Amino acid sequence: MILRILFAFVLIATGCILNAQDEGGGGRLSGRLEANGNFFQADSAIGAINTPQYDRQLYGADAWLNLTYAYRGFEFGVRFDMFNNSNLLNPLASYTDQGIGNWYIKKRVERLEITGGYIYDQIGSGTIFRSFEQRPLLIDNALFGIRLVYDINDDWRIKVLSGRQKRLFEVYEPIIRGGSIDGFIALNESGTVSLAPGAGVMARTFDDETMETIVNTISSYTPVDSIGAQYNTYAFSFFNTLVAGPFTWYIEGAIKTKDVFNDPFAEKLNWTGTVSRGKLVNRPGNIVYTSMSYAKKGFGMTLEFKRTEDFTFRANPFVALNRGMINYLPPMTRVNTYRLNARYAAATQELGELAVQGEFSYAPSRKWRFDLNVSNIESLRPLFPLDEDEPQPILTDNDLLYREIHLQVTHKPSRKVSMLGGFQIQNYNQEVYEGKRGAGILQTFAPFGEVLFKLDRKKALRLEAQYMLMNRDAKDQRKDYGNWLFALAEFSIAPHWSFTVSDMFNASPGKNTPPVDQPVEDKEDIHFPRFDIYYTNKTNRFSLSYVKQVEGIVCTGGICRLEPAFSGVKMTVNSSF
Amino acid sequence: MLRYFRFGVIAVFFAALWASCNENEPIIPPVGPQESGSRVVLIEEFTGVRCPNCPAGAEEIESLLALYPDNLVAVTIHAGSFAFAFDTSKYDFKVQEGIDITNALGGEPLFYPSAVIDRKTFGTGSLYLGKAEWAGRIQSELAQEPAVGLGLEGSYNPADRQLDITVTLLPNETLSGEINLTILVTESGMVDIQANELEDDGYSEDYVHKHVLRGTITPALGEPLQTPLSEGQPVVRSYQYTLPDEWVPDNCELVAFVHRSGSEEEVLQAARLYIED
Repeated sequence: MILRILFAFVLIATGCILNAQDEGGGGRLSGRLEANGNFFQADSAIGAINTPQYDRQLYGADAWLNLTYAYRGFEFGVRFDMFNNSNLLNPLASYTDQGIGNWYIKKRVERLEITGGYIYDQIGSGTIFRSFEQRPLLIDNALFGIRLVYDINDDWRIKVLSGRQKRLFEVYEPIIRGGSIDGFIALNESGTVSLAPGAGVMARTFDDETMETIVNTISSYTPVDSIGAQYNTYAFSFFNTLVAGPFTWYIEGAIKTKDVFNDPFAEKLNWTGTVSRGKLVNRPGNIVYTSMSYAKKGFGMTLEFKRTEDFTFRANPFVALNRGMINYLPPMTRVNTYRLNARYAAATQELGELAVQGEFSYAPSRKWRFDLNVSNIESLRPLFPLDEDEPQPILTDNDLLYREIHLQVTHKPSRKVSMLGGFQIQNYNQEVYEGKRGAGILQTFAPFGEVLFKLDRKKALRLEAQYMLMNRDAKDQRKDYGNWLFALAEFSIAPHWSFTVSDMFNASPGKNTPPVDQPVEDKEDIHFPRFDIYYTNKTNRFSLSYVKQVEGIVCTGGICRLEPAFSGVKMTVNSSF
Repeated sequence: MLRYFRFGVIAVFFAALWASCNENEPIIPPVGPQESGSRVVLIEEFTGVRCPNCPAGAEEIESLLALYPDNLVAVTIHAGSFAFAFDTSKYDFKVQEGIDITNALGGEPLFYPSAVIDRKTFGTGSLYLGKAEWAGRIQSELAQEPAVGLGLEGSYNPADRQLDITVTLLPNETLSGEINLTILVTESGMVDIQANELEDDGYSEDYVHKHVLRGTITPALGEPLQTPLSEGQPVVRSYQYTLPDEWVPDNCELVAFVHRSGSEEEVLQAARLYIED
């Protein structure tokens, strides 16, 4: 750690010297800061209690400071990460640490690009390898190693990489290595018909300690559950993009050789004679993903299909949730931004899902636009409870995981007014996505609307409203938190100021509205207000928010986790220089 | 010609990437209940009556206790956001000592079921381990000789519900640094409501709770021992404790463990004693 910090200082110092020397010589130092501060105020009415931050710490902060220096074909990057009583790693606990979260050196030598350090990259759409960063979920699985990219010619390039995956300020021990080749082939002279084919391979080699733990785990199983294991697992992918005028077709297929991973649904015979779920298994996996899109003036459509089977690929079989992921499986649902429409989001099911999505847009004139999105995700294999005498699927409705119909109409009657309205119908399997047994499938109907008034050249007022109607369970209680009403008003004065006030109102409380023990009819209708002030000055952006936020699922790119309720004040600073 | 050469090199490169796929696979040792060694491992499971996944963790612990009947000690700690009793609960398993231990071990776990084994991170960066990992970590701990022997003896007087406890430590090597002794009481056989993902409505009304931490005899984070503990020099400590009326002695166990204190909490050895034996 000391060496790393020392290295970072040397790097920064060197960068400063070079910059000072190089004001006329082309060197360039740039940077970016993201800082968040949270002030916690306990509120038992919404469940914002019983974490160290609410109990005693009262304050938490996260910050990332990037510096990049480019000079004569070299590029140096370093990032300082800081977490003070942060709730990003574990929303229920507190995490404090700081240090150099990322550094790299990059140099181009003719056709060869050399990168060493913490590397973000992906192969194809990421099905066999993607190292990336998602700060809201504290995902940072950069590959700590070496990457070489060689341009064979103007259209083809080959890439190899090797290293270990980052784990906060440490690394996972298993070695990850692989490479890819991808290129571009024009099929006609005008270039309107082309192919962009590629292939990749990634391999993960367990270290001896990880393998010892795997072997010890397997050897504790009863004989019927015993499996073999191997140090090396390989994943291969083949992908291609075909472009033919307005038509684009992407397809990717990947397979993974036998891999020891944790299957939480696999039945396990215990030494007590009982049967439970969850054990290590040793199985191969595969995935197919394809996307077809067509765009012509005023009309566009995209169709997607994904079939996933046992395609978890992680640094070791014991990491869970969003930790240790070597690959990334693209989500197959609409990315919703409205508060209520985004409340229930489908996390990618890496052990098995069959997903389709269609998106259609039609704009008959400049004043009107229609958008329709339909998605459907089902479990690949039926899941049955352990009592085989009564085979009753855990999932209902043909093992449905998620279904969404989202229709949106946009109308711009004048240059000063634009309107938007529509509705969303969702089926969300809360039992699977949130592990809430008995919760079944939430069925929601959520109409929404928005109006934007441009008051003058600088001032604008945006009004937004949504309502969510929730289905009822067998006891005639509304499921989860019941019905919601959300309203927001945003007043902006370009280019500096923006003010928003909003309220999320639990209009008809449901079974899970706190306090959960009380009958639904005795529960109070809870308000979750929020006030925000944003100030932007050139490349600096500041925000100050008072927030009451309900417990919910937070997702980025199909990776989700449950976030507890929040009550307090948030401050953010974003700056680039 | 050069073009073909380049593609030839690339082909050789990719062949090399997935060549040598044949490896010497690890040997999985035969399975079965293990022979007793002298190492006794402590597993502290973190749970709550509102945690639907936790009965699966409790089952795993029972399976491991069946596999290592003399070498594993289990303590179930109800703390955290799932531990608040229901209105219909007969017991409130949440005790301050459990909350103190949870806080000392890094706060509430990110996921459930979650357990801490011998209070070691095993290089994972967290003391809390998922269910899939428990068996492997326990076995690797069992493979090590204990740094200290730990004897736990006691007598119980039903008339005044008093426990007389004697703990004997016999270091197998000289131990320095901060070392604590923790003694606690667990109770099993309590029937009460529990969220349970295996039930159709998500709840078991008559769930049998086992190894529940009821209280500690020493401070929750242990009583400091005078160090260094010299190799071969026994250390004897005696305690008296009156069992609260609501605890059933037949279902109670005494658990003792010697552990480091301060920057790390590693458990060096554990012991268990049935109160009514």
